[in-house]
Amino acid sequence: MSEFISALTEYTFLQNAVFACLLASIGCGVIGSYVVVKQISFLTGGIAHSVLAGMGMAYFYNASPMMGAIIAALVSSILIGWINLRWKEHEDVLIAAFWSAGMAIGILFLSRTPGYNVDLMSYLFGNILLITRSDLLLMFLLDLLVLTVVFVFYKHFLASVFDEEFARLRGINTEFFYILLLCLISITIVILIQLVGLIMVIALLTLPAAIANQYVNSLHKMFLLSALICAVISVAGVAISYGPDLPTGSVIVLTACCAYFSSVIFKQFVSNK
Amino acid sequence: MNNVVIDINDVSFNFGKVPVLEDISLKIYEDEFIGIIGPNASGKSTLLKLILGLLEPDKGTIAKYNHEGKNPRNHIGYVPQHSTFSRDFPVTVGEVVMMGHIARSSRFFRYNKKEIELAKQAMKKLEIDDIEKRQVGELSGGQLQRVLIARALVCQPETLILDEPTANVDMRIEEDIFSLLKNYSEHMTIIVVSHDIAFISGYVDRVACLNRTLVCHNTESISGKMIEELYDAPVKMIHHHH
Repeated sequence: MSEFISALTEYTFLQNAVFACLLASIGCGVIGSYVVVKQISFLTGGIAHSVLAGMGMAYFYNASPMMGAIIAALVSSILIGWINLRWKEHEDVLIAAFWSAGMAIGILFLSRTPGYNVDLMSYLFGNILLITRSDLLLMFLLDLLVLTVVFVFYKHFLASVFDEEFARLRGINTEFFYILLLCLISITIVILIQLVGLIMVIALLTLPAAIANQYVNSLHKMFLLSALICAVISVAGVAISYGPDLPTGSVIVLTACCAYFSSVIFKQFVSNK
Repeated sequence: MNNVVIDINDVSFNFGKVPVLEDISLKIYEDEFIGIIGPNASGKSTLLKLILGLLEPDKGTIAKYNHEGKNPRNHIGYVPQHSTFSRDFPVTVGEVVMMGHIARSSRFFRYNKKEIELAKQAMKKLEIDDIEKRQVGELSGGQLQRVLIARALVCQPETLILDEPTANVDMRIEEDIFSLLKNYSEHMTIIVVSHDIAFISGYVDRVACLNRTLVCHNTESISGKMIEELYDAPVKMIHHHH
C-alpha cells in the first residue's frame, strides 16, 4: 500500500488513473442507480457490448475509437429503446441480438484493420493505466452532460421510473424519458469503458448502486452513496493491482463483487438479529 | 340530476380476437360514488384503462368532461393497484405524494413551496404525515394505499378512480378507506373497481356489474339472483348487522 502511495506521488499515469476512477464514479453512481432501480442491467449489458461495433468501424476508418464508441452507444440505445417500446414481449431476445451483432460487427471491422490486437484487448477489458489527459477531459465533459440532464429532469425520471403508468397519465412523455435514460446510460458506458472495458462495464453500473440501494431511502441519496462506493472500489482496485502488476479492470470488478456480496451478507446478518 | 362527467357510449374492446367488453354504455354523474364490480377477468381493469385513456375503444366513444378521446388529465385522479412497482425502490412517502404535481411543476430537481404545502395537506388528511420520511417499501398495504390516494388528491381531481383499493389490506383498513372515500364523494366523483360486491355495496350509491357486458343497479336492489347471474354460480347472501 505504501508502495502505491509513493508511486502515486511520482508517476503521472497513476495520478491520471486515480482521477479517471473519481470521474467515472460520478457517472457510475448516478446512472448506475437508475439501472438498478429500473432493473435494466441486461439491457445495459447489451448496449455496452454493441459499442464494439462503433469502435471497430472507427479503427477501420482511422477515426477516434472513443467517438466511434459514443456514436455506436447512442445509436444502439435509441434503436433498442425504440424497438423495445413497440415489441415489449421479446425484450430479452432483442437485447441478445444487439449484444452479439454489435460484437460481431466490431470484430469483423477489427479483423480487417492491421495490428488491432492490443487495442482490442484494452477496449474489451479496459486499460486504466494508459489514460491520458485528453481522455480525462472527455470523461469530465461527458460527466457534466449526464449530471446536467439528470438535474434538469430529476423529477420526471423519478416519476416515470417509479410508476410509468401514473407518470403517463399525468402527461409525462414516458417514452421520451425512457430513451433519454438509455442515451445517458450509453454515455456513461463510454466513460467507464477505459476503466474496466466494455465486457465488465455492467459490474460498475450495477454493483455499487445495488450496495447503496440497501442503505438509503431516496434516489438522490443513492446517487451520492453509490458514487462514493464506486470511487472507493475503483481506487482500491488500482491500488491492489499495482504492486503485483495484475490487470486493473479485473481487480476493480472483483473488488466490486466482493463488496456487493459482503454487503448482502452483512444486511442479512443485521436483519436476522 | 347532476351533470354527466363521464359518458361511455356503446363501447366494445377486444384483445386480439378475444372480446373483453361488449356494448358498454354507462353515464357517470358528478359527485356520484359508483362501484364497478365483477369476477376476475370480467374486463374491469380494461374498462378503467379505457376511461383513463390508456387504451382506445375498438367501437364506441368515451367522453370525459365533454371532451372525447384524450384525457383531460387535470380532471381525473388515478389510484392504481399497488403491485406495479418494486418494493425496494428508494423513494420516500413524501416524494411519492409529491409526484402528483409532476405535470405542472416547472422547477428543476425540487418542488416549490405551494406544491409542498398542498402535498403536506393531502398527507395530513390521509393521516400519513408522520410517515413522510419512510421508504414506501416498508409500509403496510393500508399505508401504501393511503399514500397512493394522497398522490392522486394532490392533483386536485374532480373525479377519483381507484383500482381494487382494498385488494391487499385487512377488513378494518378496508372499512377505513371506504368511509374516507365516502366523505370525499360529497364533493368528488368516485369510481371504485372491486371484486368484492358484498363489501362495496354498503358504501356506494350505484353498482355497475361487469362481466363482458354491463348491468347497473342501485345498491338497494342487489339480490342473490343478480350475483348469481354475474358470477355464474350460486352465491349465498348473508344478512348481517354490525
